[in-house]
Amino acid sequence: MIQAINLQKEYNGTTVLNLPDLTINKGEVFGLVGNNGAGKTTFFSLVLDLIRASRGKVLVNEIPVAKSEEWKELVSAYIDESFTIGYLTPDEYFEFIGELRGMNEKDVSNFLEGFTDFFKDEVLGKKKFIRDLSKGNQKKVGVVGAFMGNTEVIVLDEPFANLDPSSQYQLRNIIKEIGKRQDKTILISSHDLDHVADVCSRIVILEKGEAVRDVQKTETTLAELEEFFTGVKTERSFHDEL
Amino acid sequence: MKRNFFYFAWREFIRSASRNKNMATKGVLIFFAIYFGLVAVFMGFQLTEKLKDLENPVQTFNAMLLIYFGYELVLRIMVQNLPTFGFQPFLLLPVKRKRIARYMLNKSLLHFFNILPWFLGLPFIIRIAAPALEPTVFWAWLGALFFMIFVNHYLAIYIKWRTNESDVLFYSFLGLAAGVTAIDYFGIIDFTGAFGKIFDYILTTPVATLIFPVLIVALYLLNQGYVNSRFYLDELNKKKKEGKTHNFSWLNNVGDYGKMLSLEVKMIMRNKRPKNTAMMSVLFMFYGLLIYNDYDPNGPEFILVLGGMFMTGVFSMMYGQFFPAWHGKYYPLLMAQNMKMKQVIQSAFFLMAVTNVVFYLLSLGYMFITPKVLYIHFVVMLYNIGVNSWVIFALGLNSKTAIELNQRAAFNYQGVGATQWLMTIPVLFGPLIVYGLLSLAFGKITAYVIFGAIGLIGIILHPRLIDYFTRQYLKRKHKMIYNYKSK
Repeated sequence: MIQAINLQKEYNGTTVLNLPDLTINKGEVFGLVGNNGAGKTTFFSLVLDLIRASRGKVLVNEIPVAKSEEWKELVSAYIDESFTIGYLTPDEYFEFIGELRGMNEKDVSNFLEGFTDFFKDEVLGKKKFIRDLSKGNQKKVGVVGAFMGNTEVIVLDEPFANLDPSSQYQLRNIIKEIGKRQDKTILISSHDLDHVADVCSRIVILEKGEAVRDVQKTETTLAELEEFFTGVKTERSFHDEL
Repeated sequence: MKRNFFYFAWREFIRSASRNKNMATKGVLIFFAIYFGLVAVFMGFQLTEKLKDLENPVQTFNAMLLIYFGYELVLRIMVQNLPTFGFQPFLLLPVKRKRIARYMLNKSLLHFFNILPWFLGLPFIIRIAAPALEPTVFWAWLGALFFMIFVNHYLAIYIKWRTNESDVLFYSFLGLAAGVTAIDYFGIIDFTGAFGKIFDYILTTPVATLIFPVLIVALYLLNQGYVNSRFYLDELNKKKKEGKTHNFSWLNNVGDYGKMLSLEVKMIMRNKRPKNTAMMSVLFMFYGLLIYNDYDPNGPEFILVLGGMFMTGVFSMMYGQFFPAWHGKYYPLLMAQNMKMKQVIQSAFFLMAVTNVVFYLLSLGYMFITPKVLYIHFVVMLYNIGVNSWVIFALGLNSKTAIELNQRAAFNYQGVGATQWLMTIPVLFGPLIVYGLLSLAFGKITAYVIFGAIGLIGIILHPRLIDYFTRQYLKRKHKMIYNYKSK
């Protein structure tokens, strides 16, 4: 369970994030959407204690992230390319993450078997360093690394960006599969309203650092999201509403 | 395009995020340039004195030219920066590639090596050559020298480009250089004399100078052709795409921090900059040959302390200089993953300690010069591990720039800020000062004992000190993540 209590971040006098009270419960697939600069990456960075909060705090399972390192066993994440190590091959990278997560070689290869389709024979078993992979493949490596270790919380910042369309749908299914397990909490941010509306159980819209909408997903969620961002209400025919 | 490229280069420099550090580094480099320039002028005067009373001073001078230009060529190849230019944005604009190539080559002329010969040669030229030769001959000869500098410049660039791409070429070039030097030295073929004769020829036939500008143009065009053909994004920095992977999993058995340790080793082995650093530190082992050569067993032992410092400690000093910036590019991963900060510190300490010991053992080879090496290097090694490691950790707290792992190490000033320059003082001179004071106060043997004891204490206390630094690095975590993000 993740709690943001009175969480604020200021840069040069401007408040870029202000969440008085946000609680993400276990088992939620939490989606964060917002325009560029709305504060999504800032929020995730605060959850992972990569930046210092100007005010307030974040608790993961009651552990304040800024005060202790114990939450690291419960959380895994992929934010950007600084979460991959360019000079390792993907296999070595997964081995490294596996070691950190208490998985032995067998565990790691069993785990990776489930992703052979996702990787499309371009990533595993090749001797290419991560820095020499295409951007999309680098992303895949980082995202899959975040799924390793059976952690309670998984944080993914814009996981769908830079992936080819079929991979995006595969990732959607992967996330939904993991989300079915009630003991996992997944935090995702994305610009793709379609993916978010499909995958997430709860969606929060950030605007200029504040949560302006916080809703549980329903069938109308996608339409509501689109309406929010485009300002255009899609006309539904009388027939549909029946 | 109306604006010339200097417009962009200037702005890039001024607006760089690390501008202050860049300026400070440039300031230091200018200082060194002036210093070496003055040294060169001084040597130039010495040269003039020696040649003054000879029969044919100018000819003797000419005979030495090959030695100078030969060494300069090799030095240039090692030291001179290849002209680079962030040309990617310009590739898609209506700017001729030839123009970009010309800019790169022209800009490269602004290099200290193109001025240095003048510092050396001016005293001779003005005091001896000018009065001795007739005006036309004099100007022709001077012109030849002038052009020769640029010939060397472009030759060095071309050779460097070619040898960068192919290891075969690199080693063949080294072999060729060594071979020529040896042949000349042993008098089998007199290369220096022959080269000197070219310039003598100019003295008799001034017009021959014109060969040089032709040579320069030819080399310039050669370089230009090379650059033009490499304007593809994936070719100007030719990377090997296939990785040679070694599994260092045996390191995992070292302890909790073994995973970090095997990552460190992979980092060093697989990336140009740390790898070059490591290889250079191995070369430092031969430093002893330089300074221990004429060691008189009853002479000052200070030299042995200095040598020991360098030879046992060089790797940990060079590695420690940029700790933890080596991992800067993926620092967020290490911080957010299930890797405790303590393990990062522990593996760095272990790495530095082990290399100290290994280099100490290697340095025992110098015992054939004097057996004192055994214990002097030993206490210096203890000091390096027990004291300098902590100094390095303390200074690493100020780390500001993530190290770009794939650039070469020699004369790469990226990531070098005031901290790095200041670091040399406590790390290098600190022990010397401590030793000096101790030996003055207590005499040599006691000094060594105390010196080693200080180091030993630092080693015994290492668990507590590691905990201390773990807390410190955790405190600075956010700042360092932030610093590493900016370019």
